[in-house]
Amino acid sequence: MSTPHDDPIDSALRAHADLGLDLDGEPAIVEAASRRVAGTRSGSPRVARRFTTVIVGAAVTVSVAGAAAAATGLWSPSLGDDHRGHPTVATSDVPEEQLQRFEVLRRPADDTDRDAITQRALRELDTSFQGVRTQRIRAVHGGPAGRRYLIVPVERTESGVEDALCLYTVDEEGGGVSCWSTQQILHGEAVLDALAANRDARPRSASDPQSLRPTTAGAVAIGLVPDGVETVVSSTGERAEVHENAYELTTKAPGRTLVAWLDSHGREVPQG
Amino acid sequence: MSKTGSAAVETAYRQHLPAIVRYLRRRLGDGVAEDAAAEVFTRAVRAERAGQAVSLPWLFGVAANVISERRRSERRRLRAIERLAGQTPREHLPAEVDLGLDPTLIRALRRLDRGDREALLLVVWGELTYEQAANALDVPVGTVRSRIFRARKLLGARAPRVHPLSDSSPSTARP
Repeated sequence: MSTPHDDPIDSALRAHADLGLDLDGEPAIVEAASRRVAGTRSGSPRVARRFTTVIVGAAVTVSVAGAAAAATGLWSPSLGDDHRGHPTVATSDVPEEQLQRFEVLRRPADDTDRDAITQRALRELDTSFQGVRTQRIRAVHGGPAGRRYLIVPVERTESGVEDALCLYTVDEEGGGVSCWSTQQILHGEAVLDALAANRDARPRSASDPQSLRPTTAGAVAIGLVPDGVETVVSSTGERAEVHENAYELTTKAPGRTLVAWLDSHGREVPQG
Repeated sequence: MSKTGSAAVETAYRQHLPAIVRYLRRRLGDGVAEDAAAEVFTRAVRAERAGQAVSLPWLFGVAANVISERRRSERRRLRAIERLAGQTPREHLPAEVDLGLDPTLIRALRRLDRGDREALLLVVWGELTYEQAANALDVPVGTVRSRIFRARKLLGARAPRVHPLSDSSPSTARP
């Protein structure tokens, strides 16, 4: 194994390496980074948390038409329940940067955003969500199967993410939710591997167009991206179109998949 | 994550986090290093789940990607080094002590081709061998050699004041 010889240029560069750095700062940074990584691995805001209750089956039995909420004016859905506790409602709007970065937050709420399925899902939230920005909750359909996801902005999460955008998906076994800060989303970290995808591809019934079942074998990752990203491509080559800042990517790669972002011209959009 | 995989990342994490943090501090500065290091290891966890073997060179490769995604921070850091190199007071230093600081060297470093700079800094600031740098960049070792040769040549031409440093200077000590 070769080692670099002590070239004068190397020596000179080495003399500059630590200029301006806190000489005693490394252990503190190592410790802080260590805590963050440990948090990520043990169930941080970026790791999906699964609900344990069945909610979709119940949701589709509710009359959607009868329960459709008015899409204008203040909206006050029930959050949580007496068993889980009730998340607080926000007293503030989403930050300006989120409005500028995410078109889905800028569009007016419609009936789907506030219908019975959404309302039912919101009752599954617990007190780890603090300051739910109900007026900006949006339902999106991230994939070709037309599955529904909710984008739920909150002032903060129990794990300490401020001004988080939570991506909430529901399936027959409960569902999952993960929350990220704007910066985490901009750095490409907003990926939720919520659905194990080795189940039957059939829709449950004709009356269930929004079945949350995966359509193919493999893993299904969903995620959030900022405006300007039209397509995501996994490291194993699978592609997915972005709809309203969300996507649903079916991949045969095990575990989490890193995705690259492409704009409408197929050019890579830098993350971060 | 499997237990085996989890243990692999855990081991890599414990062993290599300080080296990754040191490199990221040098490349991006103190203010960004923590976030960047956490990002490197978060990606490692994900990649390991997809079957990637996590090693020191591979982590440096991820670090190189994270740095390239934070070009603004990298530029800011290089400008800060350049400024500090030009401002370091010399009046209280013995005449024979040469810290070897030269803002023109850092200015030239900033203007290097990105691939050449990356290869050189992986070796000099990241303290990798050529083979490790080649693994990190996923290129043949000959490519690393030629990039580093080219980088040194350009830096030497653009920063002619760079001389071999005195062995007595603390800053010349090999890591």
